[in-house]
Formats: sequence, structure tokens, C-alpha cells
Amino acid sequence: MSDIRLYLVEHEKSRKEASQIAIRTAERLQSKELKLLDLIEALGEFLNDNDPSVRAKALAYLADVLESVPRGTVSRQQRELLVHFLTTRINGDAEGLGAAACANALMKIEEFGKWDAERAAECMQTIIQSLHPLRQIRQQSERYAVLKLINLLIAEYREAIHGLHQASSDFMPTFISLFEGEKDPRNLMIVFSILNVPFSEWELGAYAQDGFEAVFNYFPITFRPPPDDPYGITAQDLKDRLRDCIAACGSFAPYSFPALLDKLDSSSLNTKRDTLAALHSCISNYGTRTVSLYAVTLWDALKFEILSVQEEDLADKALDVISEIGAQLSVGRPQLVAYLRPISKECSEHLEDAPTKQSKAAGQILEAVASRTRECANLLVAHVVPHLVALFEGADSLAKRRSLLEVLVQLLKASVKVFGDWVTIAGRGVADTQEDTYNAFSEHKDILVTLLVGGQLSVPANEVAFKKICLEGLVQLCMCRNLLQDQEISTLIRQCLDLILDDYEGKVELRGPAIQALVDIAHQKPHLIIDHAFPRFLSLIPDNDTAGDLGYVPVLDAFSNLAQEAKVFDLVILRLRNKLDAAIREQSSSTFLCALLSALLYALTHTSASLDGTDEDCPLYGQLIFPLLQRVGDGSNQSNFANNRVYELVGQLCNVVLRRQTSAFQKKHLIEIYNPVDAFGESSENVDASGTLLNPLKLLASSYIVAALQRDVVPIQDLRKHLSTLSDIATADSTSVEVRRASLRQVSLILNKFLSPDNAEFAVDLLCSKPIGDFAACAHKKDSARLILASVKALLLRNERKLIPILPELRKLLLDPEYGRPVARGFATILQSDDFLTKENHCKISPLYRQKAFSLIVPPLTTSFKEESDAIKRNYLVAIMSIVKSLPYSVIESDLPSLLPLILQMLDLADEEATKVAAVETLGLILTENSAAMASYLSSLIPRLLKAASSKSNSGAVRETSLRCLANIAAAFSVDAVIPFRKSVIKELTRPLDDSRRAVRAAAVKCRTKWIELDEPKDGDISE
Amino acid sequence: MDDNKDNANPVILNASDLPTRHGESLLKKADDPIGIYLGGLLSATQPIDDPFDEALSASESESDRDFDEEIDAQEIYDLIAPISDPEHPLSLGSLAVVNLPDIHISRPSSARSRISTVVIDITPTITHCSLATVIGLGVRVRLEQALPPRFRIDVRIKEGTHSTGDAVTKQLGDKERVAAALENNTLRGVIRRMLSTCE
Repeated sequence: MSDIRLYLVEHEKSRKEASQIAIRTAERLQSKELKLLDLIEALGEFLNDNDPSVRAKALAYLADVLESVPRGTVSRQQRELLVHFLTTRINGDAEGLGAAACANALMKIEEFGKWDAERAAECMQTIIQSLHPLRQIRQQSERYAVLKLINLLIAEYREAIHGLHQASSDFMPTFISLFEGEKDPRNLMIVFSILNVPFSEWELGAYAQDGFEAVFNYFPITFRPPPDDPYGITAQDLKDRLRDCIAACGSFAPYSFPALLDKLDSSSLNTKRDTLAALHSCISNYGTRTVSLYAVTLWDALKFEILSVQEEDLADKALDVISEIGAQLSVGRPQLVAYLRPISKECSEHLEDAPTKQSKAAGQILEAVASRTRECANLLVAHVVPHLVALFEGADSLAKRRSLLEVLVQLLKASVKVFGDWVTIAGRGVADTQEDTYNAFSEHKDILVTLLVGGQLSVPANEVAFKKICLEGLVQLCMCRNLLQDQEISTLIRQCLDLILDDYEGKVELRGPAIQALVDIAHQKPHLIIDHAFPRFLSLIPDNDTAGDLGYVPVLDAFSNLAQEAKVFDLVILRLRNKLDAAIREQSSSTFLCALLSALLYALTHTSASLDGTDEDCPLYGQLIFPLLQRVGDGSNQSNFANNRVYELVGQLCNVVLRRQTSAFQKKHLIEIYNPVDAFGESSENVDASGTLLNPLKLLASSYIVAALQRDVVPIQDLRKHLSTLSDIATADSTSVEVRRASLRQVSLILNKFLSPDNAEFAVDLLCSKPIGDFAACAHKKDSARLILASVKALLLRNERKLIPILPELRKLLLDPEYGRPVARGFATILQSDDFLTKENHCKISPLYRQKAFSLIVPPLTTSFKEESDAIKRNYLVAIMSIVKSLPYSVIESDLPSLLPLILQMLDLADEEATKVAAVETLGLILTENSAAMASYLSSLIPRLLKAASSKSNSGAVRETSLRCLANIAAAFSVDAVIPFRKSVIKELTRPLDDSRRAVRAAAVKCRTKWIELDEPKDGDISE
Repeated sequence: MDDNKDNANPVILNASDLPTRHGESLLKKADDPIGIYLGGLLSATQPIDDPFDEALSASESESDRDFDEEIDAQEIYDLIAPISDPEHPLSLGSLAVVNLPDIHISRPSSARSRISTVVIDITPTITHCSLATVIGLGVRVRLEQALPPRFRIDVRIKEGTHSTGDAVTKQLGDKERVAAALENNTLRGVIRRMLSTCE
């Protein structure tokens, strides 16, 4: 049997088999075994068959063969013949059954070699004549093939097709109506993109309306993709393409704007959303002239979306459209004036009865339009601001004045947006000449300054909100590029200073904004701040505090805030350092020294300036850190400098700066960095109990320094000795709380950062194994446990392998009758986040440390839980929660079955409030992550939570979190699962409603509302 | 579409003007100006909690377990101010339909009684507001859900603010009529949507 016959037989049964046959034929063609002419001839009898489906299959065979033939097999001449042949087939096949195959074949031939314009035009003509309308082809996949061919012709032979349009006025209407009635989303995607070409590039003339209606019929798209859509076309894809078509050319405007405004009245919010988006595109694309014709009409319709807002996002979209019109019209003054006049008139009217819903909307409209271009801003400002000022002066209430000022601030913000501030030029990118930057606000700036400054001073002190808005207005005035003179800005700076420094009522709320205002101005005009604000601050910070007045504290607080701005940061640091020098010289109290050091620390930690230095140099080190280290190094117990807090603060300052330096820099300066603070390094008059030379003050500072060092900058030679000494200090009775904390931190840091493999065994033995073994006989159990856990934490973070056998042993610490309980709580330190062992301090942090702690510490506790006495059980529960509360859900997930019963028991513990809170929070976490895991516990969980929420013996925090968790339960499960509990929950919750704590009552209200809502019908049957 | 609203352009209070408890606490702080700055300035250096000694910190909270924060007018206000107006996407607080000075709590009259009474006068945005009853009902439902049962709730229309104020007040005070109204599904839906903005 010939291939074609075989193909016809297989076509029905198996597409795969059929295409195999086609491939075989293609191979024969390629090897010249078979001539193309013979192939076509062999097809002849089938192509003339009476059954149209046989004819279609024969064509499909040809298309399949061509699909598999490599490029070059078919000669140019043959291709021409084939194209001719195929177009006549399209023409001759009235039922259009073979059209898809012809289209596929034609596309393949086109791939072999470009056509000339004539051929392409002929092809298009044939399609239009024979396949019009396309919907006569029943199968959507076959229409798809034809559409792809048309798309190809439009994309590659646009000139030729355009020629058809120019040659005959009949072409366009037929072309447009060709696609009528298409419903398949995949095909529509192509139809929209095909139609977009003539719409946006060719002159449509009389057919604009036809064209518009052809696409607008599909508006709005309500397509919802089937769940298993193989093509992945979303409604949004269709909407985007349709919108592009509607917005394709300005000659649609007479049809599109009325039609879209009509759709804007739709009751469906989604239709309104699509309509606004389409309007926006139309305005962006139709061109200034067209838009200007409809601008006012559009405004009249769109304003209602904003003035009587229905949904916030619709109002925002309408604002976008209104401002887009302004942007489009900004090129021609007369049109813009004509558009903006009704807007400014209407907004001004709404402002008259401010504060109302519509006056608020008017402010939004003005801000949105003025934010787009300088032209818009200037015209609106010129119209609205004089009116606004007049209204302000005639206003009878402060509320009205304030809402007017709010609108003013909105306009000022818009102005800053389009004109830029002193540092950045907004908008056109090119450097502006003076004339080009005319800002209409410059006409009104004097009156505005008077009005805002006056408003600030004249209203009663308790009108904080009014004063705030005045301040905001002034700041915006200062920001706006080339608007105020330096002198005027400095007046404002003085006013901010008054707000910050003078004593008056209501100060607390205005102080923050005033400080922020200074920071903002410092960014714009640093020299003005330095000239006008610095002297005032510095005159209020004394050189000594012998008078005992604490008035400098708020001054320092405000001054250190200025350092946020990088441009004045250096100077703030310098001035504070000078004050510190003077204070030490003048024997000021340590409280004052601490305040100055805290101000420095605040400045360093809150600045936007970079603290990084190079390998060679770090200015802050020379200016600030080195002198401080020298003072520490002097060692003399100079008066008030020798104070715990002072040394700690010095350590923190060094830490903040030094940890940002490179290890080359740190190595170079290691001796001067570390030696001054080395608590054991020099002879000292302090000899501690164990006989070691020790300066406890220096230990406070040195822990911070050790924290700052990079891992390859090892400060200590004899690590073993150092660790032994530190561990002695940490467990000695005579050690103060601060020093103990410092020594524990230093142990952690050294273990984590500087422990070499050959020292690991020693350290684990010294700090973990031995003390755990000796714990029962230990004299200082609590401190010993602290040291063990601090060491465990440091080693755990660096994933030290020697620690693995130690972790399960920690259980033994919990068996102690007296200290087991505090130690159980102390387990929290292992995973608690802390400020020392961090990435910033160059510590090694293994990503799996949480996992490891959980899997090695908790299982020994859960497995032996049942055999222990009640007291030990309690310790276990507390210890488990101490670990679990710091873990993400994924870590505990696998152990939920053994954990959940224990967590429930924790709720019954007496006098373990923190554990109970953590337990309830963990339950909440499990609820949000995997509520199914808790489904079987509901009947024991809900009564427990209710009891926890109403029991007076629980702390407020326990009652509150229990209520929050209970509220989450209502949401986390299906209604059927929780509805049986509803009645009792609602009843029981009346008790927490009467709790003595307000926060608990608030939680109870929320929780009760959630449970009451459970049996309400879901929304949807009533709204929309 | 705004033609069918009774009042399309109501006066709106600025959110920062609404009474809050937050203001009180700031005023309290203002008595101790130095303290708050010291806190801010020195906060960076405060030591972290020591879990070993948690028992100590727990006992601190014991002390404030005794002090009573009674339910006051501000708390009632906070419960009802966020209710949405049925016509506008705005809260009853910002429309000044409910106002702090119009909330009165009378404590139990005798030592034996535990019953307190809350009287709330609501102010419709305009005198012929047809939705005053619905708003009153919403306030009532909210408080019945959120206050302990020892409170009696009395929602009224503020005198002189509504053309048929007395009639509406009477309606709202009639328990049976209130219960009957809440049987109506449409009305329940409206009230549910009003209350959906309550936290």
C-alpha cells in the first residue's frame, strides 16, 4: 500500500503512527527516492474525493510530510508551485475542512524561504475570500492554525497586506469581520494581536467604528480559565490584549469613550476596574489632540468615583486616569487650562465646607493631578492656593483650617515631586535653566510661611495635630527646590529648635516630628543646620554637670538624632567627643559621662553614614576609638570614668566601629586595640579570689572588643589558660552580676570564633563534660549551669562535633532538686537570640544549629518523661518549652505526636507563666502551619484554653495569649469541626469579658466575635 | 448613585482627633520628661532578660495583677467607634455618629447589685437619616457581644438630632422588637457588614 493510503487508514486510529508514516515519506523525499511531483500526483485522487474528510486528510498528510522535510529539500520553484497549489485548495474547498492543513503547510513552506509580496498578498486574499467568516471552520484548533497563518502574514509581510488595504476599500471591512464570533480564548489572543496591527498602524478611515465594535464586543472579559487549562491563558492576558486593541488608535475615541463611560456605570466592581484600566490606556495612546476633545467629559464622569468613593482601589484608579489626562495635555497650554479649570473650580468648591468626605477627595484629586507635570502643578497651584488661603483666613473653626492645611501640604508634596528638592532634580533629567523651573508656589511663599509659622505659634498648645500639619507644611516648603531662601529656611530651623528644646505642653508629640524635620533639612541644606542648629544644641550641653541638673538629657537625645544624616554625622561625632573630653577633664559625674557615651552610641548605630574603613585607615578609629582605648589603658582609676556602665559603653562604641573594619586593619592595630582592655594582661591592684590578676572593669570592655574582632585576628596567645581563668571568674562567688555576664560572653565568643581543633577537646572537657559530671557535688550550681549552657550555645552555633555526645547529657542538670527548675528555664539561653553571637560580630553560625539542639536535647526528655517524679516532670516540661519556643515550625513538625500531649500538660503548670505563654504561642504556631495535626486534640485543648483564659491565678499574658489562640482555632478548622464547641465557648468567654485587665478584655472581645460569627452564613448571598 | 444616600457628603473627623487612650498615656509621660528621653537614649544598652531568674520577673507582674482597669467610657467607645456606617466606607467614630462624651456608665447603685448600665446617645449625620435605627441596632449588637452580662445596654438617639428620634429610641429599647429585627436575614447581613470592620 502506498504511504498516503496507509496514512489515511492510520489517521483515524493513531496520530502518532500517522505522523511516523509522514516522516518516512519525508525521508524518501530527502533521499530523492521520491519526487515531490509524484507525491502531489499520488495525492490527486484523494484530493478530488467526494468525501470532504478524505480531502482534508490528504492535505494533512502533505502538511505532515512538509513538517518533517529538512530545509533545502524543496526547491524554490517547487515551493512556488506548492504555494499556488495550496492556495487554490483553500479556495476550492468550500467546507473549509482542509484549511488548517493548508495553513500548516503554508507556514512550513514560508519557513523554508521568504515569499515575495505578491505571494503573501495572494495568500491573504484567498483566505479572506474563501474562509470568511472564519467561524465556518468548526474546530477551534483548525481555526487556530489559520489564525497563526494570518498572524504570520501580518507580522512578516505587513507592507504587502497594507497594500491590499490601500488598493481596495473593501479589504478592511472584510478583514475585520473575518474574525467575528470567535470565542476560544487561545484564538482570541491571536485575533486581538492581529487586529492591533491595522488599528494602530493603518488609516482606518470610515471603518474605525467597525473595527472598534469588533473588539469592544468582548468587553469586559469575564473568562475564567478551566482548572487544567493546557495553554495557561489567564483572564488578565486576554484583558491586556483587548485593552491594547481598544487603545490602539485615536480614531476610536468617538466610540470608545462613550462606550467606556457607559460601562463605568456598571454595578460590577470588576467591570469598573477593567473600564478604568482601559480608559487609562486609551488616554496614554490616543494623543493630545484627541484626548483634549474628551478631557472635560471624562472628568465629569470620573470625579464621582472619587468624590463618592465606593471602593478605595477604584478611586485610586480613577485618580490615575484623571492625572494621566493632565500629563497628556501638558504639552499644550490652552488645552491644559481648559481641562484644569473645571477641576480646580470644583475642588475649590468642595474645600469650602471642609472637613467633609468630599473635601478630602478634592485634596486627593489636586495632589494626584499636580504630581504629574510641572505645568499641571503650576496651573492648579495658581488657581487653588489663593482661594485656599482666603478660606483659611475666613475659617471659623480649627478643624476646617487644619483640613485646608492638609490640602496645602498635599499640593506642596506634589510640587516637590515634580520640581525636585535641593539635592535631586525631578522630572526631565536635563539640567533646568532658571526660567524653565518657574514654580507657582514662589508667588505665594511669603503668605504661606506667615500662615504656617503663625499657625504654629497662635493655636493653643494642646492642638498638637494642627501644629503637626503646620510643621509638615513648613518642611515641604523647605524641601522644594529653589523655593525658599536660605534665610527663610533658617527661620524654620529655629522654630523646630524651639519645639524641641523649649518647655511647653504637648511637647512630647511634636518633638519627634520636629527632630525628623531637622534631619530632613540636614539632608537638603547641611550647612544651615550646622550654622543654626549646632550652636544652640551645644550651648545647652554643659561641660560638667556639677550642678546636678539633668536638663542636658533631652538635648543630647535630639542632637544625637541629627547624626542620622550622613552629611552632618562627622561633625556630630566630633562635637560629642569634645564634650566628652571636657566632661572628663572637669570631673563630671559618671551619669553625665554615660549620657554622652550613649549619645555617641546612638549616633553611631542610627546613622546612614558608612562606618567602614579601609585596610589602612579608619577616620573614626583615630578620632574616637583610639583616644577612648587610651583612657581605658591608662588603667588609673580616674574618678568617675572608672564605672561599670562607662566601661561597658566604651566597649560598645569600640565594638560598633571596629567590627566594621577589615582584618588587615584589625591586625595592624591589634596591640593597641586589645592590650588596653586585657583584664589579665598587666599588673593590677585587683587580685581576685582565685589568685588571678584581674581588672573587672576591663573585662566589661574587653568582651565587646573580642566580639568585634574578625575570626583570623586572635587576641590571646594561651587560649587554654584564658578559658580556665574566665571560667573561674564566671563561677566565683565574689563576681558581680555585670562581670559574670561579661565573662560568660567572652567565653562564648572565644569558643565560637577562636577555638582551634587541637583545643576543642580540652575546651569541651573543661567547660561541658566535667562540670556536668560533677554537677551534683558542685558548690555554685546556678553559675556553673550558666557557664555550661553558654559554652554549649557557642559550640552549637559553630556546629562543633565534639559537642554531640554532650547535648543529651544536659538532661542530668534538670534532676537537681533545688536548681533543676532555674536551670530548666535557663535552657532558653541556648537558642535565645543574643546580641553577641551574631554574624555582625563575625561568629560562625551553622544553619542547622536549631535542628541539632532540638533533635539531641528534647528526645531524651520526652522518652524518660513518664518515669520521673512530678517535680522532675515539671522541670522537663519547662526545659522542653525553653527549647521549642525558639524553633520554627519545620523543626518540630516531625515530633508533633510526642510533643503535643506534653504541650497540653504545660498549660496546667502552676507558677510557670513564661512557659505557659510560650506553650500557647507554640500551639498557635502549629495551628497556622498545620491545623490538621491538632484536630484530634480539640476536645482537650479548647477547655484547657478556656480555663487558662479565665483563671485568675494565671498572669495577664497567659490569659491574653490563650484567648488569641482560641480565636485562631475558630478560623483554623472547618465549621463542622468547631461548631460543637461554639455554645460553651461563647458562654465561658463572658468571664474574660469582665477581666480586670483591659488587654485581656480586648482579646476576649475579638475571640468571642470570631466564635459568634461561626454560624453566620458566608458573605456573597447578600453583597453584590 | 449617591442620590439614594441620605447624606452624600458628611463631615468627617480627622482620625488623629478621635479620642484614644494613647493620648492619656502620653500625657502621663509628659509629667516625667527626663525619664522618657533617658529611656530612649539608653535603650541600646539595656541588658537582656535572664531566663534563669525568671521567677523574679514573674513576681513583678504579680503586683500589677491587683490593679484594676475598669471598663470605662473610652473602652466602650473603642468597641463601637470602628463600626462602619451602612452608607459610607467610614467608621461611626470618624463620622461623629458616636462620641466619647455621649457615653455614660452608671455603676451599680447598691453594694449588693452588680448591674451597671451603659447609655449611648448616637448622633445621626442628618436629622432625617433613615438608617438611624440600623446604626443603633448595630451598636447594640456589638455591645451585647463584647460586654460582660452584668451590663445593661441602652442605645438612644441624641435629643434634638433626629426628626423621629424618640420613636427610634423606643424601638431600640424594646427587647422583643430588637430580637425580632435580628431574625431578619437581610438586616443581619447589613449588621454583619457594619461590624466586620471591628477588630
